[in-house]
Amino acid sequence: MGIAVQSLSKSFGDHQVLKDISFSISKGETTVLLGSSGAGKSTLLRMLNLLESPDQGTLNIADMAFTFHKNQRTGQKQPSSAEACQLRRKVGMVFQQYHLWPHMTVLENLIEAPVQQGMLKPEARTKAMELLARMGLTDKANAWPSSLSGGQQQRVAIARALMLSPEVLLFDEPTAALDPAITNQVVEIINELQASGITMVVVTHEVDFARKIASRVVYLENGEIVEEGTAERFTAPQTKAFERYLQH
Amino acid sequence: MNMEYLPELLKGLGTTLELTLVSLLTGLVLAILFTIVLSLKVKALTWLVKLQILLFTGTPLLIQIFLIYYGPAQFDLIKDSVIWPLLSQPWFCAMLALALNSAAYSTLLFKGAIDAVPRSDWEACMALGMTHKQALLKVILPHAARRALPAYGNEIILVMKGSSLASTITLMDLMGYAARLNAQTYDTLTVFTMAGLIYLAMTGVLTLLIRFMEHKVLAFSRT
Repeated sequence: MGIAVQSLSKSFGDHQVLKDISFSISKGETTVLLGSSGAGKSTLLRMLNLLESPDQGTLNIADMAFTFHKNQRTGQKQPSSAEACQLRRKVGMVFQQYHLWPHMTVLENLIEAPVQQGMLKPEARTKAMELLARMGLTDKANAWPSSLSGGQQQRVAIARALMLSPEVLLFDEPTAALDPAITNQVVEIINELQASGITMVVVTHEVDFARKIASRVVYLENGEIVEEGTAERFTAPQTKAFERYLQH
Repeated sequence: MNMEYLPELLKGLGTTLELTLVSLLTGLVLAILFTIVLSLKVKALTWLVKLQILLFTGTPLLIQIFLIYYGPAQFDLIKDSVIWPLLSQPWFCAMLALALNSAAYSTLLFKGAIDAVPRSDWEACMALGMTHKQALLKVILPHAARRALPAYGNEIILVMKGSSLASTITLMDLMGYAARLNAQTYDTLTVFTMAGLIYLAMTGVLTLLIRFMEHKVLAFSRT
């Protein structure tokens, strides 16, 4: 099983950012969460690895199940931080601004988390060098992140997430800070990863980028799912709202 | 200038350097512990650390030295205890006062540096399944320590100069020898100018050392 989400909702103060969201994703699919800014897609993505916690609903991901209740003394417990850690080791995340640790070299960025979690250093190094080679960054292993271009930093961030061999990989606007030529490198990497069978969820507002990677699409507006389906929806949208969004 | 004062003054240099080094190291260890307490929000201890900071940053170092040296002698309970051999030594009392004073200022400095580490560093740790403690110890503290080094360099120099106050509780450091020489010769201008120049030279050397360290640990921010 991949990911199943039931009736998730979330408010910040009086503002409800997600309203009763339900969807499911099968293993190995690349799902794009599409929508304009403020639609709630990043919040939704961050819930999938519990960086945000929902007010209500259930979440099944990577063979773990979570139920959320806000302000209710029910028998069901909120996820503990230990469970959250366990989940995040199976659900990797790539951020819009890369979030590399600036005081560590590229190689150190890659091996830090796996070594902490029990991988032996030589093994971690070997794996890191393999991933860097796959990303075309072998010569950057000992460079500082700040000396790399945006596209290179993004590839390091993807390699870092892959170090833990996650079952699911989440991307939050991975191309928003990159110029169009570099965007195609990210497309190639995502398509290559899809061939390797990893489940991916990608948040973006760029239709062209979405078309190139998606096997499924979920279109959100104002915290609600307006349309969802296979990639064919890009050519045959079923709602006016999604059709309008695709045109601009 | 009468150069024959110099060998006499330099007799105190060892004590000054030793006092500075031990106070700094003790203060540093305490400051790291205090910073961890504040960052992990250990409830009861947080309160104690905040009190320590309030007392030691809010009062003059000279008063702290006097209270630690003269204070415990007023209590028979302390005079009969096992720590009295330590607390009755001026060297230990001066070291303790300097260490606690330095710990208070350094804790503020380190906590500030940790708070200044961008949220994104934390978020990346969380997303890779680290616990709060792992993130703090393995990623956030090392980053913050590098950022804090320039300010901590100033603290090193302040402790070195502050150690001169130890002469007020009979310790024969550089300042102690200068004061005695002055009392013997009344050659005030020469004696204290020479002592001042020795302190200035030490500050110069320390500044160069700190610059060198900054150059190494902040290499990542220069590209």
